[in-house]
Amino acid sequence: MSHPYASLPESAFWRTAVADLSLFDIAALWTPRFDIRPEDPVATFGSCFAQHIGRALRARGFSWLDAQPAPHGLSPESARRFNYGVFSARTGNIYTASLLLQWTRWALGERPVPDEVWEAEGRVFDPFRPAIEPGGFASAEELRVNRAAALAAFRACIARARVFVFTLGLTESWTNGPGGYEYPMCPGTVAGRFDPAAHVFRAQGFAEIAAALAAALDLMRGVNPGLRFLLTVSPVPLTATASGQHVMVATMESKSILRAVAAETRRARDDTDYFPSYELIASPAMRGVFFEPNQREVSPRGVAHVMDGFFADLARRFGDHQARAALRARKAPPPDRAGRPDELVCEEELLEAFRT
Amino acid sequence: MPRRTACLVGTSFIGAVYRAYAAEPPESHPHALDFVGTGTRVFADIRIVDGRFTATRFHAPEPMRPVSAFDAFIVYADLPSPYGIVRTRKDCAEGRVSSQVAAAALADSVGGSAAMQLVRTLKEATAAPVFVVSSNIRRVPGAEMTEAVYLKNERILEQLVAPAARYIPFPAALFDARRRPREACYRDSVKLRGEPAGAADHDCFHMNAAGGALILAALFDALGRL
Repeated sequence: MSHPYASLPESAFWRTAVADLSLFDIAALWTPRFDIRPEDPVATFGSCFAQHIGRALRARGFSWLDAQPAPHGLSPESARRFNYGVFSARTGNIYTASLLLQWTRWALGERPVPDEVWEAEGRVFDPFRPAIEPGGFASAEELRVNRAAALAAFRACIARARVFVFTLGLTESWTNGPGGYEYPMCPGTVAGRFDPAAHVFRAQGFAEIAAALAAALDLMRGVNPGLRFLLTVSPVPLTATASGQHVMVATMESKSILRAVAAETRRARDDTDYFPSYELIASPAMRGVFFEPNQREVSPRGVAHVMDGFFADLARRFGDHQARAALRARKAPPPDRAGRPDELVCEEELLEAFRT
Repeated sequence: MPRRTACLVGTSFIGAVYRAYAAEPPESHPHALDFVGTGTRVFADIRIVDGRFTATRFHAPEPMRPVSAFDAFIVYADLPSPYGIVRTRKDCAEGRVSSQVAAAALADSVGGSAAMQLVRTLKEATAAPVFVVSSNIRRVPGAEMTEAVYLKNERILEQLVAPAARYIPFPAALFDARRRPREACYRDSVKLRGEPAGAADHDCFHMNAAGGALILAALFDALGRL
């Protein structure tokens, strides 16, 4: 007797798609909803893992948007140190959907940017990009001018990109209670001073995150109606949790929520797709082989595995753009100012340094 | 004026100076000059190992003397172009970068220059004064070279090399009133060893022996002030 499972492809069955294969042969996890052609401007933002996508796009001759390039003369090492070429604008890591919404509102002038700055030893730090300038800014005025440039670049990304890639990283966040705004890092870790009366921990839930993400995407589409979104979930576990739970439990909860938000957002919106970098690294079938020995950082081989899958799945669905992309890459000026490929800029990892 | 022994170390630009110097007996010159050079693309490879320059493609006279034998060094290679420095400053202003990024960009521009790296190497290896000559002064993409631009570029290069080295300006006689290269100094230009450049290799940066003689006089003048 026939039934719906009888005509399904091998990829629909665990045995043929996973159990019978070497983990390195588990492939074709993604059926892209829309094409990304080499000439399509792609903006990348989000948590640490988003950096890999931007870097891979650049390396393969795709049009990664660099709306805030390093100034002429700055060496690749210095550019890296000052966080140029990491994301499409110099926002630093945007770990949560609510932070993405906050940046979008600020960039589009929907909300004013808070005046708060952090001072230490004569230098000034940006609460919303605490690690963007090692050693801080010379003055609050310099910081604000520089942040305005980052906001303008972020706005330009929204307006110019055809694809906006966002990697969801965290559900835990720190906010300024009275001010009603969010920090990317707990004050007092990378910079600033923790104030228990003002700084509030929030473990965001599914509904809150999904709503923030939808609001951010809607705002961006209001500026650029043709913009499409590609969501990913960072496979990198939490460095630390303030939830009171064991960090492994908090990580699983966090990733599950983010993964569900990504799925629901994709279901609800035709303009949004999800790329399964999370599954390619963190699925139990991968047996953790793509993590470094600390079981947290993704190894270069893992990154290559993910990005190979990304381009292979695009090619399978829309044809191979590699030749055209390679031609673009040859014509392009020397690309990667971002330094060593295995060197990620991850403020969250700095938490580890403050562990007592 | 005491007779100095100096070493001119540089890229293919030194060929014209060598031709001018070699045209006369060494003892007829007010100062003795040794020549050490290599191609522009591998100039950054020059090192000082066991007291002598390595990774060179040309030196005269034979055998190469140790660096300790010289009273002064003259580096003749491209500094960062003044145009590049101006562009860095402009980029930093337009990009609203922080003061420390602007400082790093400028430092990287200067420090990334093979000529300045060699200056630093010489300063570390010897106590002898170092002079610098650069052709980059005339690179002004997209702009017209004028006397004002030339003098501004000269000031930028002077500031760039100080205090590690002293900048030796190009003699004015190399150029016409609009700072265009004089045909008499640049026609039939020569390469690293003083050999004629191929017809396709002539440019407005390499000189002939007449141009080299003007440079040589400027170098001797600088050495005479030591």
